Amino acid sequence: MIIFDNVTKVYDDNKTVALENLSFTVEKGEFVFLVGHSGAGKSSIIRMLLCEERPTSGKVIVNGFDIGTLSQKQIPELRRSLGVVFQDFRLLPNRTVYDNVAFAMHVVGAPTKQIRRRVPEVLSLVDLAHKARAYPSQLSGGEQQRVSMARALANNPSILIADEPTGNLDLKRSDEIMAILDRINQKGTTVVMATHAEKIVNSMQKRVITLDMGALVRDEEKGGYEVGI
Amino acid sequence: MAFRGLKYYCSEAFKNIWYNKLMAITSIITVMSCLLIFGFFLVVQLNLNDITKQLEGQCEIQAFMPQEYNDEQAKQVCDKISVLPNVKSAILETRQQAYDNYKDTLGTAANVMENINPEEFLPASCKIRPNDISQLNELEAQVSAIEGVEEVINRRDTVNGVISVNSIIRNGCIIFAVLLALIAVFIISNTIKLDVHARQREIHIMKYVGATDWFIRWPFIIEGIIVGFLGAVVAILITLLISSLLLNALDSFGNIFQFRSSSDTMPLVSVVLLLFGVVIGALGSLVAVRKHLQV
Ligand SMILES: Nc1ncnc2c1ncn2[C@@H]1O[C@H](COP(=O)(O)OP(=O)(O)O)[C@@H](O)[C@H]1O
Ligand SMILES: [Mg+2]
Repeated sequence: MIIFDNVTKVYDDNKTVALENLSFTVEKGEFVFLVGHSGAGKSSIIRMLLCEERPTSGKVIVNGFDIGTLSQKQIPELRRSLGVVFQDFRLLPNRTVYDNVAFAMHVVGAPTKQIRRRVPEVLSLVDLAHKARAYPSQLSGGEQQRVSMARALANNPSILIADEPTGNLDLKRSDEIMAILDRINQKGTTVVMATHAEKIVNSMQKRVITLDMGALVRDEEKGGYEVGI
Repeated sequence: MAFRGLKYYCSEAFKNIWYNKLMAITSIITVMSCLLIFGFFLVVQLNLNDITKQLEGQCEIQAFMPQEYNDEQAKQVCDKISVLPNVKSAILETRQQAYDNYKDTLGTAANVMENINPEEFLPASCKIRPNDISQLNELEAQVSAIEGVEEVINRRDTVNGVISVNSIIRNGCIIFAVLLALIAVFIISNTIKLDVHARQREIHIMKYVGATDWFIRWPFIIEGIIVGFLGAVVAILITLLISSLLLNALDSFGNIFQFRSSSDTMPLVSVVLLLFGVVIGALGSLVAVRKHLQV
């Protein structure tokens, strides 16, 4: 599913070494946390999975796409195989919940019939079927994040990528989000989630990859949150 | 681009225009102004072309024979001229006819001519019309070489004058139109740029869920085309109105030159303006999309 092979990322503009000789693989159906202090390189990994950034050296393979050499034209194809969720939800404020989700399917050219069937399906998966006609501003933060998860899932991605999805939420809302992520993972979708929410990581008992200054310092099955000082 | 796609692109384009009404109207007015001026020049140009042709039609050279040539001799010279390659028509004017024509121009004062003998007044001549006006010099030389032709005169200077005025107007028109088109392209691209910025968030999300570059670009390009098209439609309506008013006013000159009626020029002008409007719109949006839509 995901292979990082000796990956180094140096940002051109400020010569920051964001990732250094990083190697790990994620198999189909896994649930992986990326943890570490702010600036450890979590988002850099996420952006590389989406081919927003490319490795300076080393090899990154995602769903069979080689991120280092992927042509501009192939990027949409890669992204259609992924679902992505951000800390700030990134919903369209002038569209209803339903349309925010349908939009993602329109973009990839899904037939209208399929959109009508699929949108209610994913909305009920995140327990928001009753809010289909609401606008994002009428929802709580947790509900907005669930809408963005529904959108990420609409096109049936094989990997769900989440960058600090609970960063803007309190613990109770975060637990709801985690419960849904777990449910999605149970159904076979690979989940990669960057976070520095200690309690969440400890309670989930999933694989944890710990980063420090761009280097992998720990990779544990059923791990806990230990990032050092 | 499948039909369903086209429908989506157009509805997005109209949403953009609606969302940014004021800028869209500004762009439409700009395109319209450009096309209006261009359309006006086009109508003038078409009429000038006609007038040039009419003048060219009137253009003739006249070959004079010696005064002593009688009708029979003059006819022989004229026959020789008529078989030259570039001659459309060669019409004999006998000494008597020249005398009568001149007398006619005097009107009531014609009686001063009474004691003049037509055979001693004006020589016989041959009025020649060329097929190809640009070969006039060659024809003149050929005519001069014919035995019995004493002098050749022409009205080339007038015709050349009109032709050069015509080409000055044509070149000016082209330069002006290109300049205006550039301004229109700039203003449209600015409008689209604003729309792109207004929808930055949406574009970002589209990219994350795997929209292709062209899927993101099409609505903006169609938006430009719609703006250009609407500008052209308004320009055509106004051109139609003005040119029919103008032609009515010019009708009094109708006996000097034949002006084209607007029902004659408008189909061509409309097609050209629509084409220009659409091209300007598409160019404007392509510029904006290239510069401001890093997908
Ligand atoms: N686009 C960028 N350009 C330059 N430097 C960046 C960029 N993005 C991140 N960085 C730097 O790379 C390092 C890792 O950042 P990031 O991957 O965002 O870490 P995290 O998500 O774990 O907080 C930081 O030092 C950050 O300043
Ligand atoms: Mg981050």
